[in-house]
Amino acid sequence: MKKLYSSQRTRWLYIISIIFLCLMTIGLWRSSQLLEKPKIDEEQKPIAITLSSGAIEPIPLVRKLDERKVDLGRNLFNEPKLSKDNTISCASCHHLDAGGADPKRFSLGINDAVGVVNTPTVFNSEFNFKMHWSGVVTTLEEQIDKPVYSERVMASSWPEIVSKLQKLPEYTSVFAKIYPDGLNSDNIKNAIATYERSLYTPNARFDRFLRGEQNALTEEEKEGYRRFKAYGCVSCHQGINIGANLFQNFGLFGNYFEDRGNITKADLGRFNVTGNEEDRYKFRVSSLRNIEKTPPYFHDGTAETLEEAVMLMGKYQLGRQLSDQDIELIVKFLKTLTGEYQGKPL
Amino acid sequence: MKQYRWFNILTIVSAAIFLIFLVVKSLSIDLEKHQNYQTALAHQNERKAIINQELLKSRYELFFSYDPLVNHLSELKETQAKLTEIPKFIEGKNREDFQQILAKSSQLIENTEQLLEDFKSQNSAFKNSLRYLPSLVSEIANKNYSQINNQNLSASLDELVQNILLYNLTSSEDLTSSVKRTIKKLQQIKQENINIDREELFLIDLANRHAEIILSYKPRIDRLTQEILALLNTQQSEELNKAYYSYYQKAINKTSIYRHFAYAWSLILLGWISYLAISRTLQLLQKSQRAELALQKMNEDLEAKVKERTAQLSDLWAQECLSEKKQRRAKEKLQQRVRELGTEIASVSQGDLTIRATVTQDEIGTIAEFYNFTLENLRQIIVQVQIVVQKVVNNIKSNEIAIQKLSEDTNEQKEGIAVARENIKIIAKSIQMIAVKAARTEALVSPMIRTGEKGAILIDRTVEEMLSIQNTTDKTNEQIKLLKMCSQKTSQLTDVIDQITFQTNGVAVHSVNEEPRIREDAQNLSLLFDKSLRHTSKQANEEVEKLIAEIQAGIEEVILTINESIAETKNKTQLVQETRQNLNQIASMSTQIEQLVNEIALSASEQSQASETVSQILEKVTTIASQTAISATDVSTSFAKLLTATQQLQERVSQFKVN
Repeated sequence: MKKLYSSQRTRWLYIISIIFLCLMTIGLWRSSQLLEKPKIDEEQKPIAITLSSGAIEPIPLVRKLDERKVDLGRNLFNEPKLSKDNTISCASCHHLDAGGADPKRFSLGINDAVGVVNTPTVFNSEFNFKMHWSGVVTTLEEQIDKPVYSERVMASSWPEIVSKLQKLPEYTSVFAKIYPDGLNSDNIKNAIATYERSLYTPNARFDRFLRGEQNALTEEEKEGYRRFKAYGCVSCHQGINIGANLFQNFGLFGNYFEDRGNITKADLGRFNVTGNEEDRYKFRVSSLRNIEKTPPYFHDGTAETLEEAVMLMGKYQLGRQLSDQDIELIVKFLKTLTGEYQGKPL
Repeated sequence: MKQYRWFNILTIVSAAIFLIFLVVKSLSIDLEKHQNYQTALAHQNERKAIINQELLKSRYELFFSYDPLVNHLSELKETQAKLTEIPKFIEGKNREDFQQILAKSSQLIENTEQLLEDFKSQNSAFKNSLRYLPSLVSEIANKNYSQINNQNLSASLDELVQNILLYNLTSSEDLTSSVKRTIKKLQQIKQENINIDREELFLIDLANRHAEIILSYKPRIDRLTQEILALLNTQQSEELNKAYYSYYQKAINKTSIYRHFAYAWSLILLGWISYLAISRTLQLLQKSQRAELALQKMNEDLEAKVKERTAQLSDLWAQECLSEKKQRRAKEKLQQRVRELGTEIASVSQGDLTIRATVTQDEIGTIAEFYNFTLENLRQIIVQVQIVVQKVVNNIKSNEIAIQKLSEDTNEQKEGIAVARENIKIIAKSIQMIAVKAARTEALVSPMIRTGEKGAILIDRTVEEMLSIQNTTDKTNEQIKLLKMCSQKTSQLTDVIDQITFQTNGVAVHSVNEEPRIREDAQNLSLLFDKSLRHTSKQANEEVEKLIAEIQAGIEEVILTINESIAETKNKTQLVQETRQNLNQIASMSTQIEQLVNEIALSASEQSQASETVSQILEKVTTIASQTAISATDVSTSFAKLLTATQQLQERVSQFKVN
């Protein structure tokens, strides 16, 4: 009997020892696995150096956006309740039937307050590297704050706007459907910015030319493009938006502002943002897309025609008076940059 | 024991908590987060390299757009924003150090952005001049403004373009002096040639200015390029990477320690649990051994007890055999006593309750004592029963005659009620007849009343009509009186006409006196008036007076007649009113009669109903009386049966001998 008990005891000890060994093996294996240094993704793509085919790229034909946000943003873009006295909406200054800009030299805000700079176009604004003439903000969402708070435009505030819109069930219900956190200032900005992203104008004749459709431009327009490049215009007006991707001094040759007179704070441009002396009279280079449809030109809206604008650019950026032929040909080229919105020419 | 158990539970819980703590600490590195962070770091390095690449491309005209620079810079900033979300495993001072490194990196990116903006602006202005200069020089050469031989100018311009292009291609500043020399040369040519065209002069100046712009911008652009490249170099990126990996390694080491502890602790726990399991098993084995031994001992004790008990039982059996003989003798003795007792009390079965059994000292003696006691009690009861039965028999005999009489009276009452019921039925029928007749009388009286009422209504109408006639006559009388007054006024009017006629004549005479010229006419007129008007008015007056006299006479007659008729009408009206009053009295009396007849009919019907009710009640009384008669008969019968039973009982009880 005692022998039997002692043999059972030995068996138990064997079993327990085996379990210990298994556990130790598993533990050590797992521990060594965890202690291994995480692998860095070594299969990084090699940095390829490719030559671009040209200074200007065509706008994509289709962009995928959340249509619900676009619709909501459209309503908000046209909503006068964004302003203090419910009179001014984004569309009050950005006329889509006038190239997304204001035909007036300076737009009028609430109580007919006159703006200090010419309203830039809202079309293709997503491709701008910075917003406003001075590039004070980078994104479309940030940009909305400026007119909302400006005493000369809407003179409002987000708490006030949110309070007004919350009284309108057509907004609260739509916001609740689209955004998990419902109606708030961030979501209003996001909806408006999404709508503005939908305001792109592809399929300009020049874009078709860039895509290989050689007959999209006439010989004169092609000559205009050649002179546009030869006279150095393309140095600033390049990229997908044909400009709007760098700051440049207005008046490399001669002093435009002294010649014009009546210098205002707005004329100081980028200097108002950075305070650097080098940035005095520096502005974001304008996009030339749909330029034919957005007179008057420049930040001060002094050039009423495209010809006048080209002439002034030649004078102050190139140092000479361009010939009428040069101006005519370059303007002809510029007119090929007018694109389509929702399949229809602007 | 309980405290010991609680202590055990507490120990186990503490050990488990400690193990969980160690395991949690050993798993504090979120590997997914680490992987994401690592990817962001790699992505940032990649963006920096691409920006450098794009910078060089734009510097050396390998690309024509700043969009890639803008886009990559934007991505770099986004990546930097992601990197600010530092994984939790970098804790304490390490975290603070790493945050500082990240802030440095952010600052670096901001500086890079600023430099890139400067680069783009200056590079654009530089490229502007660089692109335009060859065109400008070509324009000056092609236009051939001056008439003089200007080979020197063309050569200088070509030299300028060549030097500028060469200068642009090299990073060295050696060519600066050559370019400056060419510019100076062009200025000398300009000064030497006084007759040079003004536009040509302007273009030469413009070329020089563009060359100067190129000269001034190129070193700045090269410096910016170098600065940007230096900022975004891999060394700086590696600092961030190294810092991150060092903190990661520290965190790994720390978690490894926890892991080892956790492992060791789990081993200890396992050992402890195993020890507990083994010791428990051994304890169980020992317990089973002890239990087996105890069982064996108990078996032995039980065996001994069984043996002892068997011996006791065999002893008891022997004793039982001896006592059996004793019992048999006692039984026989008892049977004898029972037989004696039976003999003693045999005569009780024949009703003799005076007999008593002999009381002995044994069990039978006790029974005999109880038996005697019972017999005594029984005897007393029988005596009482006999007395009561005798009394009952006497009572029944005395009441028997009264009961028979009651039965007979009841029968007589029954017959009387039947007769009364028949009579009431006859009365009811006669009342019904009265009711029928009253109804008929009512039927006859009702039309009569209605006729009376109609007569009264007709007389009312007659009175009303007569009154209206009277009124009409009164009005006529008044009108005639008015007519009479009119005729009187007419006669007065006639008098007035006479006066007018007389005055007219006076006027005519007066006019004759006033106007001699129309004297003749006036005389004529006067004559005319005298003759015709006076005559005519007189005649008319006479006729009117006659007529009025006749009318007045007629009217007076009419008034008399009407007054008479009014008087008669008034008399008749009075008569009619009296008649109406009489009729009204008749009508009211008829109504009273009708009411009385109605009341008689109502009371007759009520009486009829009451007699029917009485008849029904009498029927019920008859039924009850007949039932009472039956019951009385039954009672009489029951009394007879009771008497018989009591007599039988008396006979039976008398069988008992109690004295």
